Amino acid sequence: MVSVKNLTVYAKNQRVLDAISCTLVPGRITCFMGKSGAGKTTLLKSLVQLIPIAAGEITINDRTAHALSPQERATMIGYVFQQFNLFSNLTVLENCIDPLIVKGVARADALAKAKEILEKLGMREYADSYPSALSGGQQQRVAIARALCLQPQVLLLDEPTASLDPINTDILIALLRTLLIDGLIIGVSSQDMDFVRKIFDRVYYLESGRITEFCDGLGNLDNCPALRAFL
Amino acid sequence: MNALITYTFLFVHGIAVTAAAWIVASCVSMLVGTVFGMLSCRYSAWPSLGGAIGVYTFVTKGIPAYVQILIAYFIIPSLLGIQIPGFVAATGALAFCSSGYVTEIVRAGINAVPAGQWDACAVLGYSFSATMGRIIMPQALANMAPALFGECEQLLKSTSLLATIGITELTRTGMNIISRELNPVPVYVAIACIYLLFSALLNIALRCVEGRFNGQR
Repeated sequence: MVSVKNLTVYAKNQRVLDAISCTLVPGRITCFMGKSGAGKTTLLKSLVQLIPIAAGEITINDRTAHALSPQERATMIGYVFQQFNLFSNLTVLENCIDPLIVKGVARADALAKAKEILEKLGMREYADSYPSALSGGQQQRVAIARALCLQPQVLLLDEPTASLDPINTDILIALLRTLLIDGLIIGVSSQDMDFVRKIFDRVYYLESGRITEFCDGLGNLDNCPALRAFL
Repeated sequence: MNALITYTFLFVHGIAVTAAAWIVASCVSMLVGTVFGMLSCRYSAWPSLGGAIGVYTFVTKGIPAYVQILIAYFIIPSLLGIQIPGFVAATGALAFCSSGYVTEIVRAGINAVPAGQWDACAVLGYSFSATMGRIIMPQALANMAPALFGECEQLLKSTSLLATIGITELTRTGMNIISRELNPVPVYVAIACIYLLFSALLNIALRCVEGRFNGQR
């Protein structure tokens, strides 16, 4: 489980996250919703230490996140960027094996792992393509594959549907549900109402850097007026 | 016939001196400029070095190469009380001068790589050296290859400044021959053609390097 307690983050002397507390649990999709600038992306980025935190504590399966080395953290948390950020100088297959090689995995083992995951995500036939030759949906699957190659316990996706059409959004939802079967902890930031309605599981609603509502399951939406109004 | 053989030998010697100065100065300049460019880029692991490197580039770019050669050949040996061979002093001065430009080219090339590539390396647990060596520099090289080759070409032409302290590189060799034969046209045409040949080789190398990046963007 990922546990966030009183997380406070400043950017350019502005408080962008204000004492946020939340949890992400295995086998569930935890979604962070809110308008632009609410702090969703900042929250996810602070979980992987891309943004320094001013106060608060993040624990991942009872280990303090800030005590982890970059390599340990990368192995525990996979992160999929809104713009995917695939390495443009590497092919799809190289994008997947390179983090494993940097981690110290033998090239043959890394290749086998990457091919297995690309196969699972339906991207095996694009292994030798460069990211620039792929569509947005394909790039996203490669980004997910790259993150999964390190076998993380947590997968975070920042605005995963921002550049996807409805068909690719449905493919993504099916993929996320498949990954849940393995007990992965999934965290998603989104302001795509259709996407959130379809995957509705555990939803935090953020407003101006604060969590104002938490809704566990679509059936409890009546108790969450802001979220209901947003959806 | 004897004169032709003698002049051919002199030209070959001049070309060899020019090529040696060019290759040595280019290698030193690229090495120093690449290291300084990496250290002074936006995401440097040692941001405090940025100011010192800024002063270095300001000095190297601000003083003409000719003046730097004169300082290296006349001033530094007298200050240190040592003898520096003319070739070493002049080649070192050219490398020093060029390294400032290479630093700026490399720094700009690295800074042009999207920030997302650095973020991706960070979340995947890459060290600074792995980030630079495996992801950033290969992409930056695509950005900066034309400018780096341009700097190499500039350096090639600057080797003619070695003549000013009496080193018989290509241009000086030609001038010596002209002073004997009093027939400058064929000699200057030959010198110009040799420099053009070097430039053509550089341009072919640039096309090959750029070809390697096709399909990545």
